Amino acid sequence: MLINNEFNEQKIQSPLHYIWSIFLKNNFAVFAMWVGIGLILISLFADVIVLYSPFLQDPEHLLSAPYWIEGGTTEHLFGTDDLGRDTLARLIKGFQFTFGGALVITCAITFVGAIIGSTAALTRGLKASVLHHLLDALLTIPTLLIAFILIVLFDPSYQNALIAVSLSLLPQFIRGIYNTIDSQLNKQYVVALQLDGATNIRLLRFGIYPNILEPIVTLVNRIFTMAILEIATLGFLGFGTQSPDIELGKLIADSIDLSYLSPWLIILPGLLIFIIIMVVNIFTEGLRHAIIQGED
Amino acid sequence: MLNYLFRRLNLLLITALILSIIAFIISLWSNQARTVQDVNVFILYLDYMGNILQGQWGISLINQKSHMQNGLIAFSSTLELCLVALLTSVIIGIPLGIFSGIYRNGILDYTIMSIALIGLALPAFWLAIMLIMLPITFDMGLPVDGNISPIYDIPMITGFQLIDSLLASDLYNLAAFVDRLTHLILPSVVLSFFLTSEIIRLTRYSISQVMKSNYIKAANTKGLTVIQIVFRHVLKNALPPIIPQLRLQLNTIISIAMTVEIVFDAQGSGVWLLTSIKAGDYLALSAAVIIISGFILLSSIVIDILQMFISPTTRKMLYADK
Amino acid sequence: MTALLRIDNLYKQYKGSKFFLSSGFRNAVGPINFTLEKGKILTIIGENGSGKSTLVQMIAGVIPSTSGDIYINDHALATMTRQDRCKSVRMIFQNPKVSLNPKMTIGKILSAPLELNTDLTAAQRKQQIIATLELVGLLPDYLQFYPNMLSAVQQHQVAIARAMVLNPDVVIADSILSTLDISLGFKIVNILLKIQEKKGVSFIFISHHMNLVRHISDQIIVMQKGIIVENNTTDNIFNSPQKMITKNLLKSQQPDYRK
Repeated sequence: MLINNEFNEQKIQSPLHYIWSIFLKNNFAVFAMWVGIGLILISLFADVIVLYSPFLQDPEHLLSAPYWIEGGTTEHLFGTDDLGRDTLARLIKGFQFTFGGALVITCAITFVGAIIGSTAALTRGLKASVLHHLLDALLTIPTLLIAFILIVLFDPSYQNALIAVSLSLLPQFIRGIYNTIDSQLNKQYVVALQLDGATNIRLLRFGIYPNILEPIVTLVNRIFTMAILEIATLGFLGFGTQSPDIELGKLIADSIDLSYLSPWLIILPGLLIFIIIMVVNIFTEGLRHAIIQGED
Repeated sequence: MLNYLFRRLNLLLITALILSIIAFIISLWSNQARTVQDVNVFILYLDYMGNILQGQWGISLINQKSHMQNGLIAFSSTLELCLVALLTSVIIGIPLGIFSGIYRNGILDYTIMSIALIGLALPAFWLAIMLIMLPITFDMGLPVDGNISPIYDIPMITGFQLIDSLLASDLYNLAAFVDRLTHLILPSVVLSFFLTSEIIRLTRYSISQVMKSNYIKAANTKGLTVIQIVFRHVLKNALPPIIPQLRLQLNTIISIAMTVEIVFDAQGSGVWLLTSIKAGDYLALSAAVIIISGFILLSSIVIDILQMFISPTTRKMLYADK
Repeated sequence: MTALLRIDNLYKQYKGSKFFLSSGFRNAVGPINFTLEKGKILTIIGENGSGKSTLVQMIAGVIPSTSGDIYINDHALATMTRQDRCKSVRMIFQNPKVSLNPKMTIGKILSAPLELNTDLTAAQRKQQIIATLELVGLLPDYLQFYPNMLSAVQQHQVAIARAMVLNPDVVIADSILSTLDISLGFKIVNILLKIQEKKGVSFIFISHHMNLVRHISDQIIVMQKGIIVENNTTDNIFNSPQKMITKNLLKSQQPDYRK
């Protein structure tokens, strides 16, 4: 054997491992990843973590400020609202709905969109053309309008808001997946695999998907960001979660009358949304960099 | 060329058909109680389309005006907001994107991209509330609600209140125009946050793609300075591809504009739809589909055709198709 | 002796960019008629855009033909099953840098055609792959490697192995030497000649190296504007070219580096 075995192990690294090793060198992105994992854990175990029930009213502390502000108590770290409910607990609970919902939506859209997009890219003729025109039409309706329509058709509720948001984002994802797969189809390694007689599923699994990781990461990130923003927007407009359930956008809408008495009630949920999106974007940006470097 | 125009027209017609069906389904659903069961859906659709084409879109429950009139007035206000925000975003975003793309992976690039990321991550409605709450807004006396102060009664000519107030300058001199402009400042600032970060991203990507190409390397070997290269070679090739990308964002931009309008209580399509829905007047939704989607559809086709005239690469693609 | 490969009135037409009322069919290639016998090497020469690549891609099945038939051992390709077709005609792509999937190991790249077109067990497949790698002069160790870890010549060898792994009757090589410099190119050519000697396959080459063409081929086809203008044995073409285009092409021959 010409090749030294010790050398071998280092040298033959699957592309995914290689990308991952590059990613791990990016401290910023790794930090974002851990924060992201922390966020997922919080949203899973929100009910266990909270010190107070988010609905428990504390008549002795009404509208108290966060503890670092004058007038705040350490009892309620982030203060309380006009009914004396603990802001931190409400934030965590609201976060669970917003973040968890966006996560579920993103998974669903990725799964369904990947199936539809791949099928559309690999079929020709009438079916594909019908789908294209349908997508074209749906893409011209603003997402908020789609959400409005669906919310009116069904009643406003958290579940319906999630459905509305996913239906409004799905066309974008399908179109994105379709375009990336379409650009792969004239690559020679795909043509070679087709010549080998590969079935469509095999073609996608080995030929196409491993080579479009970067656009997929970008697309999924985009869908996730838009999902968070839209869920919060619908909640804010009163079309999402209905009382007594809370959600970050609704939290802001509920406190809007108190904006001059206790601005923290508005600032904190917005900051939380901001932090979620930043963390996810930094993480995916690191991932993208790693993928691009790994492919060079 | 003619072939291409025909294909676009064909696309326009089919997409318009699908949109009209969607609008029809909404209207059908909204007065379901009144529809007679044994009437053919197809005939109902033709009936509906006939009414739409004649401009009879139904009467609004809010102010007893036609939905078409309400919708057009509201949407022109939204559009005005979008255009003002687009203008500021282009002025800020394109230069930043160019810097970012040229000095890719430098400190300047990271700074600019962080700013762009922040712009994307801030929820528009929250940002709007923050701006209203900021003391500086209060100090500067910037108006935070409505389109224009109610003391000005401007005759409707174009629907764009900036232009209308200018046209009405014989009534109020420029006071109405200035008032409208100050009302637009805050909403367009909020909208610009998202739009600017979008434009920075697109410009940066496009520029860095061009910077990688061989003709830029060739220009480097000729001894041109960076500025010369950018102005002679990069911009011409990098900027046109941004336009169709931005076109795809049009519906997101309008969505955000609608949200912002709701927060600032500006009389645009956002408020119009919200009040209509709350009043149970769902025909407004189908009017909105026709107006807003129709606008996006038409503008994207116009952009496509314009693109074909300005950019030689798209023209080449037309000839090469099989 | 009947011909191994027979092309009968093959056409490829594109719907060209047309104006509103004109019919707008553009002949890309055709009519094409020629035969190739078993174990012979055919080279197609011609200017850029003369339809060489389109022709071989139609034979390999990359793009469909508009009309006409391709027969292998008197069976029309169009009526054959996909598997039989793969087993009889294989193609080596021009540039292995883009024709080998960067995310698949060499082993996987080579086993895909076997998995899809034969009933061999995993062990038999492995045996077959190793035998093929030996045939093209690569060590079995390369099975776990990814394409970007190999040198340009090794990548070419893998591409050849992918074509040979099914033991086809006809192998098409579309200007495979254009990405290599001449000394490495000869190495690849020698590998191909050795394979031909051992397996008795027929090759269809596209090449611009006239010396090489003269050295290796038994038969030469000259194409111009989508049709065959000359079809003759190598000696006849080189000694008495009939058409102007052939003369011009032959004039372009480079100095022989082997001297």
